[in-house]
Amino acid sequence: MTLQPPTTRQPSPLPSREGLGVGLGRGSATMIKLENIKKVFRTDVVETTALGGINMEVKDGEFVAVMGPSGCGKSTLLNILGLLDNPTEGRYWLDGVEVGSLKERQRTLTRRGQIGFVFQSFNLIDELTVEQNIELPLKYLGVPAAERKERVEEIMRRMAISHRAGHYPQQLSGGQQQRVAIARAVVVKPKLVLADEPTGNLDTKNGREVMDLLTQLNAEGTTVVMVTHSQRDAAYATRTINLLDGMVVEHTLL
Amino acid sequence: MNPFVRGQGAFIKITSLTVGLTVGLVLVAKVQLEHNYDSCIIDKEHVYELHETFQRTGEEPQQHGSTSGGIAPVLAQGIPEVVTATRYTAQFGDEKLTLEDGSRHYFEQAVFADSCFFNIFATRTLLGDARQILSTAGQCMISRSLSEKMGGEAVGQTFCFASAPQKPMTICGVYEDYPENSTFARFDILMSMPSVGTYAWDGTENLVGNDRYHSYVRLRSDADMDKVRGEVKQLLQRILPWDNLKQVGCIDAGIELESVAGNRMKDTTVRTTCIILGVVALVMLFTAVMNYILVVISSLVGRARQVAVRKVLGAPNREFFIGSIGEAALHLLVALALMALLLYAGRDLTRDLLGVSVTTLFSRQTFALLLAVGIIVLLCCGILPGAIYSRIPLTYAYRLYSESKRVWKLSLLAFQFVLSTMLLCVLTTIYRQYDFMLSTDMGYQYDKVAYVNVSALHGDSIYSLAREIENLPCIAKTAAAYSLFCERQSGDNVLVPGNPQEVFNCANMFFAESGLVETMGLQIVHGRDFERLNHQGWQPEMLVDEHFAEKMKNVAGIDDVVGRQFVNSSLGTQYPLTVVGVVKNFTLGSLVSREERPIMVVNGNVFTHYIMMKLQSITPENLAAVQQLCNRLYPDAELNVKLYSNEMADQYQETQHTRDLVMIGCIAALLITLIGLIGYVRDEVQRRSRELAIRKVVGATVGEVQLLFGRSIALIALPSIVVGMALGWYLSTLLMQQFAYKVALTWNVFAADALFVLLVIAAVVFIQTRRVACDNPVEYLKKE
Repeated sequence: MTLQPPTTRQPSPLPSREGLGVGLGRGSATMIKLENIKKVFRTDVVETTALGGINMEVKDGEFVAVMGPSGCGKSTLLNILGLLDNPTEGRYWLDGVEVGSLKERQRTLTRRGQIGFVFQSFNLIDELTVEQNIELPLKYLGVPAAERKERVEEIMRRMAISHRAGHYPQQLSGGQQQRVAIARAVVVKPKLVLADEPTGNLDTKNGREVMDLLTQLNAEGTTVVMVTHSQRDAAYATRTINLLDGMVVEHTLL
Repeated sequence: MNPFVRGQGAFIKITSLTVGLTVGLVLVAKVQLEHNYDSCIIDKEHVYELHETFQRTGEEPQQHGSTSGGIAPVLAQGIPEVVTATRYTAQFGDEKLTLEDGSRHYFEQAVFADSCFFNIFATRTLLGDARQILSTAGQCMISRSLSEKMGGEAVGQTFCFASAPQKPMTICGVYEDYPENSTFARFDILMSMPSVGTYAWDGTENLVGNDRYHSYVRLRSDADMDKVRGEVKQLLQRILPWDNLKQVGCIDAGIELESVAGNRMKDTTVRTTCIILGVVALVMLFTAVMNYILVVISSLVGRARQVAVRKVLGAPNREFFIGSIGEAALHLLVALALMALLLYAGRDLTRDLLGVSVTTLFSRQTFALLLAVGIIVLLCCGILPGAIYSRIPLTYAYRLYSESKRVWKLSLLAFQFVLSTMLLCVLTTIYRQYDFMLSTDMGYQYDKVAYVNVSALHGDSIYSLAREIENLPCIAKTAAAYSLFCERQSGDNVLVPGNPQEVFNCANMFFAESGLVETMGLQIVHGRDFERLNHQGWQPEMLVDEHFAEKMKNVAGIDDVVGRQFVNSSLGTQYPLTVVGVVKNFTLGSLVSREERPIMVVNGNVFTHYIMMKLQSITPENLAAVQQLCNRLYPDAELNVKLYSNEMADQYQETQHTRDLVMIGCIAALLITLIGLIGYVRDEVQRRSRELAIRKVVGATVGEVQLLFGRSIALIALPSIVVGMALGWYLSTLLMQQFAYKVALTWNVFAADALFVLLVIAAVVFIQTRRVACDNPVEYLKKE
């Protein structure tokens, strides 16, 4: 398959972090630092090492693609990065703060507003409308209702899904659902967006649009870490990390 | 469809059915037995119980459920419509008899019955000629169960009652036990009516007074009741000693014929209890069935695909109905088997609470009704799920079932919340009423009082035993007494010497020793206590209560009764009694059957049945010391030391049993509701696990996830609980109608009940959602 990196960058539909006053610099500070991260899954009869000692850094504003064969630990790594799971061993600094051994509640509070997630299967809540899905993280962040409404409308407009505000996820195409998922991920203006196979369930056209959105997001200062099988998607990143059997085997600067 | 497949809630369904059916069917059976009460009465529609009516000057007419001994035979002879008449009167109960060989046997009740007893109250005569036995002095018949306790060879043997030694009675016949749901279930010994004189004053021919006989007549089927009542009135006009009656202030007297058909349900206590138990039974059955359906709906997540695939392969809807009914039948059978085990294990408790054995509860009398209830339960549990399965769309064959059906599930849960809250409110009311009855100040203190029934002893022995007991270091005071305060007292007319007109009727406690005031903590407000007699005998002096003194002032114009003499109709004019003191008002009887008449008691230790004793403290050691003394001094007399507080509690046994039954029902209903709630939350958690995971990923904390569930349950629980409170209030009001003295219903108690239910629901939701809320959300997202 021919690798087709983006040749042009479209105007960003996303909120500018600088413009919104977050004020993080780009390319200088370390957003993510992992030191000998291990993850072992244990059952009564078997012990599986998903990550065998990962050391890596992601600078603020980087777009990193994590690649590797199935079962190599990509998603496990992403879960740890997203504070959805704790490592069995090792240390993890997020934006200068050590977060590797945080308790459940602290992890949740740290995740709120700092990390956005985009999943392969979109993971929208079927019972909520597009608008309500996007609003959800703002609610948990404690943003007042009036401001929530304003921010949701703004992000929907920029993502070109305003006309779908009252629809339910099942009434949308895959591409539209992923746009909603991205809108939900970025509505809180996170420092870090973690994307797990974001184009895995999309056709080429929709996949490209999603990757463009992520690229634009990154261009505006958001650090993006993306797990993918796709060389084409990885080509959008500024750096690729290859995993094999739970270990980093290669860093490639694109 | 495998009815026990994992994930289909078979355990929950069977558990709730078992609990619901066990309590529900038992209570349904109990109510049915109450409706069938006294089914042993032959030709019940034409049998009437005779009630004595009378009216005194200045008083309301009164009616008693008994008559003098001679009334029934007189009616049989004088009223052409009377086909047959009978009467009985109780004499001994809950004691032992001693056979010639020295063996002792406990019996429940011994009554005098006349020769026509079996003509109205049917049971099989197993041995002997009933008519002849019950016509012959010194002869009796015993029940089959008592005969078996005696070894089965009872006929021909002679025995003496423990409380009447030296007075032999011969067993000449055996009759089949009466059903447990009858007035006569406890009748172990039927003594011939001519034997009355051997044991008590013979009032079998009396037309007035000694009104201790339960009298019945059977009328011809074509009898005109108005005519019969007229004939009875005319007969009484002819035969009653009207001059004597008028002399003692009676302005009217008569006999009322009360039909025995439906008689049981005329009793307010029985009727209210049946309503309460019926409601509890319906609640239990309804809750169990709803829970079953709730679990079926909740477990559709796991079953929908299987059903849809079957449909795709061509299965008709009929198959799901048949499968569903078959599954329900199987669950029902397992539940019934478990119910049988539970009832077997709890047979003694069931008997204590309901007063009937498990075998009677599930007998021919109740079979048809219980079968009908069982079929209804089966159809509800089988047909409704069948209808639900038949509506599952084929598309679920290839996608996950995600229909929430929350309206259905929450509606079913709402019903359960309503019913549980209602029962809890009723339970609280009964508990409070029971405590109120036990803790109400009766005007005397009995918390350190014990007593021993000394009916089996002679007067001298009673006197000396009372003194021996008093000498024990653990005893503060003793007094021999004719009756217990909680017992029904005889009525006696009080007259002023020289005036034949009675002043009023009072409750006569007959004789008691001077220690009674101190033993029972009575308070003398005027005059003095009795002087202690140092021998067996009595003094013509009496204590009266304030009510007596007040009534004497109002009716006879006597300002101060102390020092005045009065005549008592039992002792007669030759023994005028001087009032030596007035005690502060106290309550005889119980709050259920409270004595309203003025009270009098005579100083003496003759004819006493009890030794009352006030202990220094109620401890097992102290009670044992008294018991050992009694056993040592009178080893053959079967003297049992008992706590007076237990005797008081027995007065409220009906209330206690209702309380216990409602408590069991309430616990069971709560249990079923909680099982349903757990099942609901579990399945909702399973159904919404992905949504919860997403919420966590986007920032929801554990508490917020739990709150999400809590809020949805609270939305249905709060209004349900309010409705349950309102229903509970209504039922409690209904329940309270049977009590003359009742605890006040207050909203804050009901609010506390509601809060309790709410907290339990919150706890269940909190615990059930805790795991999923704490789990790594990724695990749930992976499943997608």
